[in-house]
Amino acid sequence: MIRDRLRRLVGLAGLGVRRVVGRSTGPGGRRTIAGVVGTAVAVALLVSVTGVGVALAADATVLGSDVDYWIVPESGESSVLVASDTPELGSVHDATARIDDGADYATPVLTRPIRMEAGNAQEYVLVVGVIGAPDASNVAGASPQALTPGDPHYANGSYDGPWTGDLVATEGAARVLDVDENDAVTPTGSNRSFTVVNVDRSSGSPTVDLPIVLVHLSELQVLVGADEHDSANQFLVATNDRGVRSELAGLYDGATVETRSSLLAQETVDEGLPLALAIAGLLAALIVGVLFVSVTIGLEVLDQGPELSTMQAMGIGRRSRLLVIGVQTLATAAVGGLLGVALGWLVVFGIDRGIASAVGIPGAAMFHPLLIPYGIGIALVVGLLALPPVLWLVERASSGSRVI
Amino acid sequence: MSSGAEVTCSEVHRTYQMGRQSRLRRLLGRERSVPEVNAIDGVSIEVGRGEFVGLAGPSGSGKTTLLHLIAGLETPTAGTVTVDGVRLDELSSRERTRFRLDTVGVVFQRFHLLGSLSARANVALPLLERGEPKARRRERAANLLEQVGLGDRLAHRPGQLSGGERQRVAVARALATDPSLVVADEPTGELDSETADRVLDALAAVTADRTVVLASHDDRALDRTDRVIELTDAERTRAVPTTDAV
Repeated sequence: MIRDRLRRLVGLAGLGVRRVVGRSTGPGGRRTIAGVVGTAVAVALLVSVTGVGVALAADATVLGSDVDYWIVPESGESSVLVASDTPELGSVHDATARIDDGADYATPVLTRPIRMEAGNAQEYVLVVGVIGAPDASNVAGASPQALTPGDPHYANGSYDGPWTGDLVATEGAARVLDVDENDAVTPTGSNRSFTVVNVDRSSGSPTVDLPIVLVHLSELQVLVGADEHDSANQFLVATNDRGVRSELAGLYDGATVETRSSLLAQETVDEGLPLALAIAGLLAALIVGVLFVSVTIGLEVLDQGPELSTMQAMGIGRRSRLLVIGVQTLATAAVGGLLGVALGWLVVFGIDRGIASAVGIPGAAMFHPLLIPYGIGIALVVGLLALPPVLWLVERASSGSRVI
Repeated sequence: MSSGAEVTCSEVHRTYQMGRQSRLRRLLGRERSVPEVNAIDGVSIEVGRGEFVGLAGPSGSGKTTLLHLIAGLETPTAGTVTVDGVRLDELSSRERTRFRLDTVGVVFQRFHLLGSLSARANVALPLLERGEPKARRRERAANLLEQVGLGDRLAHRPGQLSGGERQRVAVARALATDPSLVVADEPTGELDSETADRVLDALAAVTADRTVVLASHDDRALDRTDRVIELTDAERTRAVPTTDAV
């Protein structure tokens, strides 16, 4: 008995799916295709708007820094790119020495916008002070590996070690300063100078076009007067050892340890714009999707009135008819969701590339893998929300006596 | 094979209202009279087990309405309809749907096959509602299509079949659940004479020993029945007697 019922349910659900395929490939399938396309457009809208929101949130956090933990002052910003005027951490070289054992790479980070001169060019660039290491992870989208290992000028806090003058420039910085490797760069009004040891042209970094340069931490500290307290804005730590987190938490009172995933989630919520974009995208997708699916499937149901009446006349019960059309509606939405995710990926890709080529700032939109289940899930919600009016129409359209 | 059902209609009336009383008018107490039409008015017929009976009569005489009542698609306004001892007018809508699935096969004038399904899937559809295993559904549908001469059209969709072939698929579908009663409303109404003959042959072949009630204007179709019940125009004749004719 239960097996018969299960077999019936599976068979009727399969019938609903077959009807979507059959009607969309057969003559007069335009309405089914319109339902699929409508849902696809709505989901693509959702994915692309959310992709922009994710990019906005992510830009302020993890992009460009291949690290796992951030140690930031409690009221500080957690991004390398926006941390130039925030509460700072002190005695950072000593702290680095304490966490070096458990980390693949750990560096304090100090950031300051500084006007630099090179030849005839004078431009503000974001100078990021870090500790060099041959296996250093990217910081702010550039690799510090070309910097002389360690921080020679620090010299145990005396700041009288050798001045390396090493400077790694992003492609954006090299462009605005018009420099290449071995060219000299001088901070305006300073008697110190730097030499470009590498122009990081690694593609794929969202900050590759931003004017950012990496120098040794102590050399930047000296330039901006941060050597007095050996201060920096934050720490970046790359490690596979989860146990390091508790160690990091004990480094500074009043500092917080953030992880890559928590930052992304937190910033998405904290930042008003990405959240607003995500909500707007969701609402637009739901409204547009539900309207499209309910109208197109509703018209289809009216069109299928004789078929539904035939099913009733044959003895196919009300629940079975509702199940067939319900599955048909959900299947239409699900196919639309799949297409919508693919379309959304193309739109996100297009926005990213389009804005990057137009204004030189990449990372305007970002396709996170979670957008795939998100888009399909929302498409199914669209299908579920469209069900009540569709099923109401099924009730109205089914009357066995109409067909004979 | 089913042995056929016994059908009895006793003093059956069926009235349709031409329009509806609005709720607002009802609330305001300003109801107006809604005209009524008697589709059939006091019809009594009996059909024995395994009989092949034709319903004849001019348009508007109530042939289709009587078929609706016998198939349990509608209930009479007054009178009783009994099939194999079951009073259809006493069944709920859900019970009548189940009754049709188990007892009645319906053949429509305009075939009404599901366009997105193959001929075999169309025939197997009622068996799906019964929860029959897929293999049995497919085998039964293939056998029935073979019997109506469409063994080579199993995978064809209705759009790929001729009118006569579609109606033969519809005949096979009506027989899928092995019903004891088959009702057919103008099954040859949309077909040319040669095709109509082929459909009637198929109908006769697969309905042997079953009770069949066929409404038609087509004399060739009526010629194939055991007897014909002539209905007169219900608008003009309020009491329609049971008539054995031809």
